[in-house]
Amino acid sequence: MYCTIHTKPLNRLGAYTGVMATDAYPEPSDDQTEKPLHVESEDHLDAIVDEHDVVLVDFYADWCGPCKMLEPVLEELARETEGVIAKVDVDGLTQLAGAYGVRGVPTLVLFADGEQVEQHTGALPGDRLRDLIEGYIE
Amino acid sequence: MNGDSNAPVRDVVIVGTGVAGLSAAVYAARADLEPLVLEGPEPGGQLTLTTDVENFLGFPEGVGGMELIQRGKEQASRFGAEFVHGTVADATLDDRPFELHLSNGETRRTRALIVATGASARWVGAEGEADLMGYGVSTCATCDGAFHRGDDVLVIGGGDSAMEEALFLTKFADSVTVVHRRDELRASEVMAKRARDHDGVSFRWNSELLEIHGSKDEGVTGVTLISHPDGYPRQKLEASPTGDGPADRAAKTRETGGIEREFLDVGGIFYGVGHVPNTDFLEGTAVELADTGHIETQAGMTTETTLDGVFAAGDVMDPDYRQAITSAGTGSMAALDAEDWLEQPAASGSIAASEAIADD
Repeated sequence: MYCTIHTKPLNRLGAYTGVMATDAYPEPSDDQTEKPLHVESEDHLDAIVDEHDVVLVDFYADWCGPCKMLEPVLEELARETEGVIAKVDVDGLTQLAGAYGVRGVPTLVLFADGEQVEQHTGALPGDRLRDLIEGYIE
Repeated sequence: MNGDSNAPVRDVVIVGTGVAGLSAAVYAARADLEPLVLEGPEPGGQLTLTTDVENFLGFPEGVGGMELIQRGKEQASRFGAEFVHGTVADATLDDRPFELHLSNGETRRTRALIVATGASARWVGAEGEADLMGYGVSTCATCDGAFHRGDDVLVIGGGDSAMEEALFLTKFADSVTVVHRRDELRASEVMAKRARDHDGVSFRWNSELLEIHGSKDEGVTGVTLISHPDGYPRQKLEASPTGDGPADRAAKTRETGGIEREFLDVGGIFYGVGHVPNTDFLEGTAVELADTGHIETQAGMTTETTLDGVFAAGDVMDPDYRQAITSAGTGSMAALDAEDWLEQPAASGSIAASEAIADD
């Protein structure tokens, strides 16, 4: 746990068809991205990633201590950065977690311009997450 | 570093938000010292990784480690402690006020410093662990156990944390095997008995982890274990003579003769082999560290370190007890010690003041 960041350009699993997903999940207004978004399905996540330049996805579980400690940090980052925070409950979305190879929580996955750019298992300090997000915001 | 000599000077900065840091924060806040508390890379510390704490006084039914921490933070905030995210990269402690340089480039200044940075999980040193940490190798059973439903998993270690991990993992895993380098456990009697009596937990004595097999995509697929009838097999493997003469070869056979290697199919590996104190940022300062990396405190009942104005609490200074309740205890002691010290003339900030006292 708490290891270094593994940067690997994984292909996102699951094909995404823009039209369908956009129809199903209308474009969120800026107000909504001030708070972490709760991902409801794989298509929903794809739509979020496609819609926003920088998205930090938090694969979490209610029973995980470090996930709870991370919660206020992510809320702050959603408020204060231009990045969007998306939360995936691994108990509800087991297959989605599996598709990203999640084997521990929290797992943090960063997307920039629709591409996965970072993946990390274990909580990270708030300032490092902020740097990470801001590093990809142009 | 942007030598920010204009940063406001605090009376006390507490580094760490585990049970020691929080307890120090409650006491310092109640003493109106308006402590600044730096929350680092592992917010809440080791207690956030445990299940129930059964031996904290006042909770006959046990209390969740996470709950204890959240309540502690709430309590410290209520009395006015200020929490910010920040990891101390290094510290300038030669001059007063002290300067803490954070990894995000900021500088914090303080008259008194309480170090409660705790200790982080030790890694075994097996081949492949760095690549697979987070991909089937874990230091947190409560975080990652649920991803091993139906797997055969290993727990490495023989202490209380290892037993707790093993017992927790039986909820998910098909089989849990504790791998320990000796033939007896270090765990407390109650935990050892619970693990030994559990049908889902088995033991491999005198064995150690040598290699972890797998990939980031597949996760962990297996391990190579080594064992020796007298225990500590890795030590014997490393100590074996490397020379090539006949005598060396004979000695090598004698030393490594009893070593056996074995490949096992497992899907998860959980480390419970102790912790390393987080004191890197104090290297090269006047705060003396023990060989183990722990902060040395002065003899007797005190949290004073070898540098006036720097106090230490919790696992970062305690290689022996390492309990939630003892950390809470030393945390409160550090705040009281800091409060006491701040009332002395030496704490006012000028070197002249401390020299004047030395001259008396």
